[in-house]
Order: sequence, then C-alpha cells, then structure tokens
Amino acid sequence: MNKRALQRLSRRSFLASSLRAALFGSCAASSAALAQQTPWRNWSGGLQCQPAGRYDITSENQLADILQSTNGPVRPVGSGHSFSPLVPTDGHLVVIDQLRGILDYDNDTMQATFGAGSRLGDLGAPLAEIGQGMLNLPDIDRQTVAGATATGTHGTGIQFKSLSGYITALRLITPQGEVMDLDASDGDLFDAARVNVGALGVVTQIRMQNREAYKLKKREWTAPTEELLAEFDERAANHRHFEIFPLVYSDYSLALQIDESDEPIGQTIIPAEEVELSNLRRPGLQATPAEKLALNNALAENAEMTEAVDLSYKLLSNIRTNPFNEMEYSVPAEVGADCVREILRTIYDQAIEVAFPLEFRYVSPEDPWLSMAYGDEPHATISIHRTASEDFRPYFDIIEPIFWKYGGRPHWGKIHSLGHDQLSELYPHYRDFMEIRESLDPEGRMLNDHLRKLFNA
Amino acid sequence: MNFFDSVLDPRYFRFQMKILRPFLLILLLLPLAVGCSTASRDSSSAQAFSAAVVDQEVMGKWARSCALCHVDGVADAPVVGDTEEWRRRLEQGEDVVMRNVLEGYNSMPPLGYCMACEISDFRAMIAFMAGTNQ
Repeated sequence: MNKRALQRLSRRSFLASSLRAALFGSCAASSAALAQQTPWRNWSGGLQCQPAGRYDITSENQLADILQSTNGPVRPVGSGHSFSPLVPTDGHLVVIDQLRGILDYDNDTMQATFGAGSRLGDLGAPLAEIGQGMLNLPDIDRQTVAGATATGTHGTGIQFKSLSGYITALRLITPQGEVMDLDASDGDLFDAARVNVGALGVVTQIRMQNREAYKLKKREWTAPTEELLAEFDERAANHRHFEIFPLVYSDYSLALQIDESDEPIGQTIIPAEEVELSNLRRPGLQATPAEKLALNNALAENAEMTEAVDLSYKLLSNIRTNPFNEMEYSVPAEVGADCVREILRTIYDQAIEVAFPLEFRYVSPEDPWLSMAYGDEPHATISIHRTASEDFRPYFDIIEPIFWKYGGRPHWGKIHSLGHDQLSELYPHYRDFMEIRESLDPEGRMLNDHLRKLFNA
Repeated sequence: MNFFDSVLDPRYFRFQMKILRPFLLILLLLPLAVGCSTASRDSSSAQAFSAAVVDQEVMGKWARSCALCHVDGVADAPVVGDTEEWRRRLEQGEDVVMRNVLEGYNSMPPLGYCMACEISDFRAMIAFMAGTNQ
C-alpha cells in the first residue's frame, strides 16, 4: 500500500485492511490425502471430528426413532457456529436443519413457533410477511434458532434479553426419544431447557415472543473510547441499542447506535475531513505499539459516519465472511468499562499481535438458568476475536484471567477454559441444571469430552 | 413457499433451467472452445464431477447450505451456472476443490454450511453449480 492509498483510507477500509493484514498468513492447506469419510468441522475450522453416524433429520418421529434405536453418544448440530467444542463426537451427529420454517403464529400474542433448525437469517423476511419481527438478534444471522438459544446467544441492548429469554415454549426430544412440550408452567425444567448446551436432548421446535414488524435506523461513527465509555450508560438507556467496538492500539472506538425509525429505507455516508497521514509510518509486524497507536488514531479521526434505515432483521444481524475464533464473557455492567480498559491496556503493554477490535455491549437480566445474564442486574458482555488462520490460544490465555478477575461468566458457544468447579460458582442454578441433566440423560448419551468437563460427569 | 422450499418442488428445476439458459450455449461449446487448451487434469476433474448424481435429496441439502452464498455471489462466491468461473475453479483438480470444501476456503466455511453432507453430496452440488452434470 503506497502513501497515497494510505491517505485515502476511510474507517471502513481501515477496518477491512486490518482484517486482511491479519489474514496474510492464510491457512496452509493440509497435505494429507482426503479422508474417505467426511469429517465434521465448525465454522472457523478450529474444531473437527469424525462421527460414526450422521443423521439428516427430516421429522421429529425419525429423530425419536433414531434416539431409541441407536446406542452411544449423540450430539446435535445447528450451523456449526460454536467455537467451543460442544459438537465434536465420535458417536452420532444429528443434523436438524430440515426442521425449519415458521410452523405456527399468532398475531394477537405476537408469538411464532419455529422449526428449531431454522437459520435466523431465513426467518426475518417470512416473519415480516406475517407482520412480525424478532425483538432482537445476535450479530451473526446464520446460526440456527436451536444453536443460538442452546448457547444463550444474545444481541445488544440493556432492555433486551438473549434469544433464550424470549422463548415461550419449546419441544424437547429426550435422549430416550420421548417428546416433552415445555413452557413456563413447567418451572425448573423450562428454566433449564431454554439454555441447554444441547445436553438435555434435542430441541425441535421453539416458540418465541416477537412484536409487530418494524424498521430501524443505524448510526455508526468513531469517537474516543474514554468519551464513549463515559456516556455509555446514558446512551444505552436512551437508545434501543448501543454498543462500541474498541479498537486495539488506539484511543478510539467504533460506536453503533440503533433506534426505531419511520424514515425511508436507505443509507447515507457522511465523509470526514481527510487528515494528513503521509508522515506516519505504516505499522508492520515490527511496528512498536506506539507507532500503531499513532497511525490508528489518525485513521480513526479520519473515519466517516454512516447512517442506514432498513427492516429490523437487516440491520440487527450480519453475514460474517471472515472466519474467526472468539472468546466472550459477561461481567456485571458496573465493572464492564474497567474490564475493557484493562484488556486494551494489556494488549498494548504486552504488544499482543491482534487487529480485531473488542466488542462491548449490555444485555438485560433474565432467568434461564445458564444464561450469562442470569440474575437481577444487567450485564456487560465483552468479546475478543482472532482470525481463524491464527492460533488464538496465546492471546486468549492472556486475556481470559482478566475476565475472571471481574467475575466473568463465559458464553457457552465461545472459547473458554472453565470447568465444573468454577462454573458452579458463577451460576446460582448450575447444580440444579446438572440434576435435571442427569435425570433426563442418566447414561450421558448427550455428552462429549467438553460437556463431561463442564458437568463433572 | 419461499425460495429455499421451492427448490424441493419439481417446478424448481424449471426455474433452474431458466437461470442456466444463458449459460447452456457456452456449456455446449465449452468442450470445443477450451478442450485443447486445458490441462488433462482439468478434464479428469470435470469427469469426476460429471459422474455425480444430483437428486432431490442433494438439491435439498444444496438449498439449505451452498445456496446461501452461491445464488447471489455473497462474498465473491462463484454463482450457480457461471460455467466459466466454475471451469476455472475445477482446473485446480478434484483434490484441491474438495479440500477447499472440506476445510473452508476464503470466506466459505468448512463444509459450506452443510453439516449433513457427505463427500458424494459435495461432488454432486459442485457438478450442479458448475453445470458439469448436464
């Protein structure tokens, strides 16, 4: 990249080029001959297994028959978007993406029942056609409803629960092939099943609370991180969604604010005044943290602001095409900003080679037992990412203890190293969940190595 | 019925023919146009994919996975029916193409979002998208 090109960098191209730089060492293809059997791999490619059986489920009856007629481990899989090893098994892999679509809906209650294998991104348009919209969505739209809810996946907004918090009923096929229809009247079982890490059986239908279809207006801009952290609570309270992406080796963050809107669908880009960058050295592998900071700050000051109005499902969720691995923890909202500051400072002080920004947002308190926002107080969630082609462990190993220091709870679908002893201290109903798990699956058919570590089973 | 359901309907195959029609002439002329200039592994690779069976089950899997990107060209994915682009990909040989599918390539995740697919399914899907099963 020459100086002239560098001078023209906008925020968007700055972020994209940062990601591309991280990809330069792109993954070398394995020289091993292809296995005759098809392996399973997750979205980021970091996890793989060779299941003994692979079942493309077409109906609940077929699923129940398979569970009753087979022996050995069973793991359900949605879109394979979990970075934690929830899926890998040498037993039976149960694929549920044919159990999909809107099965039933009621516009008086604004609820709809989905096939649990539906991808979130496939539900927005048909829901809008019947006049409904999901209350919130997570960042990635290709997860299945079952996978997203089983892992407590959430979006942004202090007044919004995770997807699991909006489940009003679900159908669970137990490891014995029995059908259980659960709702709030089932008490503990329902509270356990709404975030179930795929350990209680296979969820085939999920009924969710929605609202009338709506449009949103999104505004993105860059500003000093300290300024955004100082006004975070106020913006989070006064806007439907507010989050920031703190840039590493920078004093700036990308801010994202979303509110309901009746304006026409469209997008506006408001360019920033270009600043002189030619006297800055391009940061390379040998650049010092101070050199990176100077350049990144100048680029962030030079970033444009964008505004877009669109249907809710088109603005709340995204297609992510740069594979990465991610660690995410929730911490009490009142210590969230301090946790972000300590992570940014650690990356700088230890000169950790990373280009991905952090992500910092609030979620509402809720009551599914294994939700990372379980309880009465709002939680902040903080994510760190690493490009899929890079080894995430050195970076994540340094940052993870910072999350623990602030009382962090891990996202079930993302990378963490905690086991039963730590987790049972973090989740008030952890032992209750384990009791229900054992009662539904006494033989441990739904367990793999990772889940055995989580549940001391 | 949305698009992804419609591919399981026989009418989908008429739709398929409609979108492929502009490419059919190219497809018919392709062996004459490139037959002498492409490497032998190109033709052997194409043969491997041309033998694949594209049935309704495979098309159902394709609709729930590959179609997410290969209909609209999301993230520069080669579009179904773009025979020239697919020919360029298949020139790399079957091993490379299949490894890219199984391990992921550029923006395509491993398995291309098809958690239920076996290698034979992937071969058939590529044959369908590349037009080598005609």
